[in-house]
Amino acid sequence: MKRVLALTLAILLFIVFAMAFAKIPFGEKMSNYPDYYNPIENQTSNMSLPQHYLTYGKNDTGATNMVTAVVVDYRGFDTLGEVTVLFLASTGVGSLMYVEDKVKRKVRRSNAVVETGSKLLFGFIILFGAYIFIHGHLTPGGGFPGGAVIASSFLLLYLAYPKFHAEHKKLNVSESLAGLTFVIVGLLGLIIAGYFLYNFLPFGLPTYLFSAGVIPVIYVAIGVKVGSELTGIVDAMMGVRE
Amino acid sequence: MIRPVLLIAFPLFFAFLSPIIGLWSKKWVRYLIIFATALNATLAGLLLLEVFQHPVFDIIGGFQPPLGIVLMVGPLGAIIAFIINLVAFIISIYNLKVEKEPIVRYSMLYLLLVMGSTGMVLTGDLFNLFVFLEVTSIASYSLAAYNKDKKGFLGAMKYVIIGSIGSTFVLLGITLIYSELRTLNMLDIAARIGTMDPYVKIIAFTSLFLGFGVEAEMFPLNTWVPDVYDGAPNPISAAFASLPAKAGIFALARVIFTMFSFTNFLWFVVIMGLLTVFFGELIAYTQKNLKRMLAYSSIGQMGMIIMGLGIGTTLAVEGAFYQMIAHALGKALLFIAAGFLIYAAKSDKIEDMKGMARNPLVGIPLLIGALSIMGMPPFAGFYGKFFILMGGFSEGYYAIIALFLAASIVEVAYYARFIKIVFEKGNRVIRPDAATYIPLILLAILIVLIGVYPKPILAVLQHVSAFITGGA
Repeated sequence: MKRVLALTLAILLFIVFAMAFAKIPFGEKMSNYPDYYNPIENQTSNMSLPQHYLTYGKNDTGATNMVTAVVVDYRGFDTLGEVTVLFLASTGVGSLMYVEDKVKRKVRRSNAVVETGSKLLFGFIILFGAYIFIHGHLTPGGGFPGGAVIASSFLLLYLAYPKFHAEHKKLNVSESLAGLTFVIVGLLGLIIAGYFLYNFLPFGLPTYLFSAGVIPVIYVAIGVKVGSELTGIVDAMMGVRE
Repeated sequence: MIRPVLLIAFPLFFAFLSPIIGLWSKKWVRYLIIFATALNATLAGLLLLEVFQHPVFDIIGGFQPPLGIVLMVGPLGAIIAFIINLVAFIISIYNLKVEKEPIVRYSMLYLLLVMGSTGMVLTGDLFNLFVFLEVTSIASYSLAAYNKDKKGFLGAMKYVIIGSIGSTFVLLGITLIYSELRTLNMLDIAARIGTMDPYVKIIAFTSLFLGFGVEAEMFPLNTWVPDVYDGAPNPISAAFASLPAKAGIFALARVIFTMFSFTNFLWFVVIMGLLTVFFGELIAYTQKNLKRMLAYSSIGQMGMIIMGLGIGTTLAVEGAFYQMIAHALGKALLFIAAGFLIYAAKSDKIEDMKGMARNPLVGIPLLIGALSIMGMPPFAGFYGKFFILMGGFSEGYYAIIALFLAASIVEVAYYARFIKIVFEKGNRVIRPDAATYIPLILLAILIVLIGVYPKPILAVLQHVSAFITGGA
């Protein structure tokens, strides 16, 4: 009975939402989109929001990667929130996995191939992760995937050396400093230009490494933060081993 | 001039700072949290004075909306933000009672819960609202399970499941709106909501309504409430009733009035509100466990607020906002008192608490809080219920008013029973310590003050008519 009810509800929900999505054209011409309206200046623009991003994005933000322009600059405040969400997740896992008297778990050594391989790869993976977030404003990628790549290099170490332990204090400090960098960049924008998270550094030449103002700074902070947070989550989940 | 964004930036700054301070001294992290919430409450108070004339828009990143994100604070948003931060400050004093490790992480989670709830109230961007909803709910999940016992895990697990479904619905609603209007700014959406396909519009509204209904403890999405309130640490139960719940209901009001510009009677909302009221009050009457009783009572009160919003006349919505303020103060007080009673009786059953509230430092605030929640004059809770009733009455919804009154009588019955037991002559009386009675007394003073001298609140609530017609 319960299953039938659940199934009926699921099918009903599917139909209701499918009918709504059926009324929305996908992949239509961008010029068909409705023009946006600025509620503060009380004026209607002559183009739609996505069109504005694609047309003026480079001028507005200095970033070549339009996804980055939207994520870090136009909607940077949301990204600050998302960073906080990840921070919360890692803090929450840390607080729930916290045990006063630690039970040590016995573990076996892994084999020589994994140990040697991970030693070789560790540095390269970190390098690749750093490349992804440092070039976030130029090429696909950014702070979140870059940080995840860095965390995966630590995950490799955990797999290869069962007794390996990343130092919690150092992780916490790098996490906090990266978060503080983001907030301080935002507050500096407020002080210098009157807007929180204002892009106050010179834009430079687009497509070059030192361009797009504060975007690379924020992305490096996010990369470090995501990397240390995900490593912290992995570490908390692994528990104490012997 | 106070920038609304500071109310979000400062708590974030302190939350990111606290692990570093925690390396040096754990005690100072606790004081830092008290300082941060006090600072926030002060800023919110100053902001309230500022927005009285006209709403404040804080453009983030220097991009005009809807290109970038904008915070939109009117008088109503400012007063809810002020109450949230004020109660958060008072509860942060009570937080000193929490002994369980890891206390640094606890403090950070608490501060971010406050930040998320404040952000939900201040933001003027639909997707930003979703981000703050996520911040609030993820902080809530970890805090709900902080005791790490069976009750805590059960509650938190239920909350995670229902909360994630709720967030998914919010996201679906946002997707539908964005795919039709290509904008995320609330006022921009409001200006062009008429051009949406009617079916898509209704589905989008329902999705958002159900999604925020989880935080607003609306029936039938509130099965997590009793377990979470019961299993969470005492300060967190108090905080849940006054921070995320109020932010969720304000988000609901934003969806109904600011974005979708519904001005007339909303059957759907009123019926959901009524069901919530009855579900909460009737089950609360049968409860023997104190925190569960308060949790169900909280559901009932939230239902009354939802009803007030649904009736949609100026008077009823004024009542709903008054009720939000009164409930935030009253429930926080009762949960703190409940924490003390449970500690004193070493049991969470009401029948074991005979005479435990006979110490005046606990007893008098407890009495004030309970009377205010019951809706007795001259306490804060009276005006809220009265306005909702009058709002319904003037429009001639007699059946709804009768049901509302019946639920209120049930509420009076179980609170009276509870008061009788805790003031009965019983065993020895335990004296509370300063971290318990200072918050209790502060909240009681506020409740009496608002009840006896409601003029400032009523002056703010005058802006309700502008809010209903789609203002900030």
